[in-house]
Amino acid sequence: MNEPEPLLRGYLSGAMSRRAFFAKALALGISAPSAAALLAACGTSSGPASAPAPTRARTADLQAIIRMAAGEDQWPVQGTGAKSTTFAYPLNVNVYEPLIYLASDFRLQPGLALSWELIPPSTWRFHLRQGVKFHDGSAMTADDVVWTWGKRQHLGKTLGTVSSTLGPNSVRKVDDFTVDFVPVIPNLRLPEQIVHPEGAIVPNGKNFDSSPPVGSGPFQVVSYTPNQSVTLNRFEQYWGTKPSAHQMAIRFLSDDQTRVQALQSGQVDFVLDIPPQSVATVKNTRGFHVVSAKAGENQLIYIDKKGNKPHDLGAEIAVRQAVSMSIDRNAYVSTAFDGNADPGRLMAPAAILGPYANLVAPVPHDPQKAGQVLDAAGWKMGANGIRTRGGRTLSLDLIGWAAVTPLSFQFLQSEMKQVGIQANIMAAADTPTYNNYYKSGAFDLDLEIPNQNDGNPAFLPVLRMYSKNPGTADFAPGTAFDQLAVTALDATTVGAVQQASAQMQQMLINQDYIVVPVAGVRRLYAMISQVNLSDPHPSQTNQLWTSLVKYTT
Amino acid sequence: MGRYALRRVLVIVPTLLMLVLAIMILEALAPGDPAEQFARLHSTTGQVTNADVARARHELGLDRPFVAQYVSWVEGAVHGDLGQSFTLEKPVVFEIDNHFVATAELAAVAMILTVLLAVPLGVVAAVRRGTLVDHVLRVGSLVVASLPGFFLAYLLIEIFATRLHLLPVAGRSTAGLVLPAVSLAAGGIATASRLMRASLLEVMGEDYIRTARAKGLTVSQVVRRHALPGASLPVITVFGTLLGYLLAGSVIVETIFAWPGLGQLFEQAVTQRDYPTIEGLVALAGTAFLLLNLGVDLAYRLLDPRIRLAER
Repeated sequence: MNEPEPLLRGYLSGAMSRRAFFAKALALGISAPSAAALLAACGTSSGPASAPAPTRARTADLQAIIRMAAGEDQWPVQGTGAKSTTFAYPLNVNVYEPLIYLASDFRLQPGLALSWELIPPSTWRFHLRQGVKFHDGSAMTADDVVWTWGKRQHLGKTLGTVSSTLGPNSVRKVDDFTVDFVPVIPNLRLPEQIVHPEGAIVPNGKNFDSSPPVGSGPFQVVSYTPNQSVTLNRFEQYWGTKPSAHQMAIRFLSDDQTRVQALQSGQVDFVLDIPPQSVATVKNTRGFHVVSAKAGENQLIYIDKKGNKPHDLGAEIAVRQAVSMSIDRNAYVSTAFDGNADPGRLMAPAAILGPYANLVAPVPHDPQKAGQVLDAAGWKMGANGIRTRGGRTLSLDLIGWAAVTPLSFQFLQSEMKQVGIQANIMAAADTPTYNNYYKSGAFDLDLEIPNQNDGNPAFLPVLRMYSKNPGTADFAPGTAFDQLAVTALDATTVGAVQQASAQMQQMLINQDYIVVPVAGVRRLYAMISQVNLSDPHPSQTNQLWTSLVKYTT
Repeated sequence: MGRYALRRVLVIVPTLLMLVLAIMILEALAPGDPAEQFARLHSTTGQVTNADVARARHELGLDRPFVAQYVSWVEGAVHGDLGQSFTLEKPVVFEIDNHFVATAELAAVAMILTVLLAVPLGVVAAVRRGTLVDHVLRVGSLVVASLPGFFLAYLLIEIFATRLHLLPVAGRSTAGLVLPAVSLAAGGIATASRLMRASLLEVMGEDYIRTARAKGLTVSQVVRRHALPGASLPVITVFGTLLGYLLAGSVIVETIFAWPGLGQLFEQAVTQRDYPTIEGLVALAGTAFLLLNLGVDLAYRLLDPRIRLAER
C-alpha cells in the first residue's frame, strides 16, 4: 500500500479533487470500490458531499454573517406580560446569560459566577466574575444579581422552580462580587436549576422585555421584527469565548419544508430543527450537511394508573408491562424518525445520569411475553385480534402532545395491536386541545416529549412523579418512589442525585411500568458545507451559537 | 339603486352580529380553555393550579355570563374596540392593523393576476372552441384547479427559488410577493377562466349575438361589445368571493411563505385560543364578504340592464 499513500495524502490535504483521486487510483490499478473503501477508511464519505469535508484545516471567517432560518418566534408568542423573554428559542442564553451554564455534556460550567459553594444548611454563595460588561457598556455587579433574583422575581419574572423557594430577602449582596442565596425552602438543587435561560441576569432595573434588550451574552440584539427576523451582532466586549461569526441574521420560517428549501436555494446558511425525514435529502445534496445533537428530548408514554372507569385499566401492572414490551423501539425510530433518533430507554438524556445511567435496564421488545402476561391476567385474545376479559375489551385511549406525528401514533397503535391491545388515538391539533384531554382525565396513555433543560439529574422524575408536586396525582407511584425523590432533592453531591434519579427511573420503567420510553429525540440542524456547528446541545434552550462557524471559502 | 344599496348595508349589521354570536358559541364548544392557556403563559413554574386558572378566567372576563360577554363585545365593537388579545396582550385592532397591510398587498396582487389572466384565457378558449388551444387551456385549468394549494406552493418554491434561484423562498419583500401571489391566484384563475369560457359560449348562442354578427360586426367586436358584459356576471361573483377569501388571509400560503399577514395571525390565535383575536378576525372577514357581495350585486345592475328593468 505504498502507492496509494501519497495519493491519499494529496486528496486529504485538499490538493486533489475526488474525481482526480479516482482517476489516479484507477491508473494505479486500484479498483473503484477499493478506492471508495480507502476514502471511507480515512473517514471521508463516498457519498455525494454528505459530510462537511473536515479534511482540510479551514479558517473561520470572523466577518461572516450567518443567515439562519428558525421555526417559531417564541418571543411574541409568549406574550409581553410577566414572563416576557428575549431568551426564548432560538435566542436562549446568547443575549442574556445565567450565573451558571449547562454544557452540552450536562455538566455545570461557570457563567457570570466563577464559582459557588454551599454554606450549610442551605445557603448558596456565588462568587461573581469580575470585568463582565453588559451590552450598554455598564459593568455587572452583585446589584444586578440581587435585582434579578431578589426584587424582580417577585414580579413573577424569573424561573419558577427557583423563585418559589426564595423569600423577599433571600438574595443578599455580600460585597460587589459576592451574593448569597438563602432560600426560605431549602433548595440543594439551586445551582443546577438556575442554568435555565429564565434564570438569566438582567441589569439592575431592567427586564427581559426592556427595549433595547441589554444582556451580557456573546450576542447583542441589533434589530427585531416580531415573527419575521432578529439580527444579532457579536458582542466585542464579551468576557468569554467570542462567537466566530460577526452577525447572525435569523429569519422565522415556521414551515419545516420551507426552511429546508430556503437552505437548498442558497438563501440561508443554517436551518434549525429540520424534520427527520429531510435528513437524507439534505445529506445527499452536494454542498450541505447535517449536524445532530445527542438526544435531549425523550418521547415517553405515561400510563395513568389512577384513572376512573373506563380509564382504569392502567391500574393493572400486567397491562402496563404488556404495553411497554409490545413496542419495538428500534423499529419505531426507524419508521417514525427515519433512524434519526435513539431507541427509548430513559426518561432523561443518559449523560445527565453519568455512570448511573446503566442502572436503568432497557425494556426488551418481547410481544410473546407481553401476550403471556396478559393471558395470565385473564385477558383472552378475541377473534378480532383484541383481548377481552369478562366482556370488557382491552381498549386504551392514547393522547399525546401536539408535536407527536400521526406516524408515531399509528406505529404505536399497531405495535399494541400485535399483543391484543386496542389503542384509540386521540391526536390533539394544538396544545389547548391536548391540555383539555389531559385535564379531563379521559385517557389511559399519555405520550409526552419533555426536554431536559436544567442540570438537575432528577428534574423530570421528581417533576412528574413526586407526590408532593402539583399535577402528579395521576402518575405518582407512591411512598418508595417519594423516598428516592427526597434523597435526590437532599443530596449534596452530583453522584448521589444521579444515583437516586437512576433508581427512580428504574422503578418507573422496569418495575412499575408507569413510564414507557419510546424514543430519544435529537435536534437536527442542516447547513451549507462552509458552516459548522461544533457543539450541538441536546437541550433546546441551552444551545449557544458561539460554536457556529462560517469558514472562508 | 341608492335605496337598494342602503337596504343591503343595513342588513350587514344584524348579519355580523349573528356571525360573531355563532363564533362565540363555537368557541364555547371547542376543546381547550383559554384561561388555562393564559395561566400557563404567565406561570413561572410551568404548572398551573385551579386557583391560577380561576384568576386568569376572572382577569380575562371569561367568568361572566355568556350573554354579558357577547354584549360587552358588541358595545366595544360599536366604539371600534375589538378587545385585548389574550396572548399578545395588545388591542386586537392594533394587531389586525399590523397584519392587514401584508395581507392586502398579497390579495391585491393575487386579484390583479386573476383578473388579468382568467378573463383573456376564458375568452380565447371560448372563441377557439374545439381547437388545440381550447383543449390545452381546459386541461391545464383542470389540473391547476385540482392541485392542493400547499402542493402548488412547494412546487413553485422548488422550481423558481431552489432550482432557478430567481425568487426568494419566503419572507415579505417585493420579489417575495410573487410566489405566494401566484399560489393564491392559481386556483382562482383556473376556476374563473373555465367559468368565463362556459358563460361566453352560452351567450354567444343568443339571438342578439347572431343579430350583431348579421349586422357585420367582427367576432372581436361582438365579443368585446355584446358578449363579454353579459358573460361576465357569473365570473364577477367568483371574483367577489375570491377577493373575500384573499382579504381574510390564507393560513396555508402565509405559513409556507412566512408572510406576516392575517392568516398567520388567525392561525396563532386559534392555536392559542385567543378568543378576542379570533372574533375580531371573523368580524373583519365577514364584513369583507358582505361588502364584496354587495359590490357584486351592484355591479350586476351596472352590467345588465335587464336587472334594472326588472326592478322597475
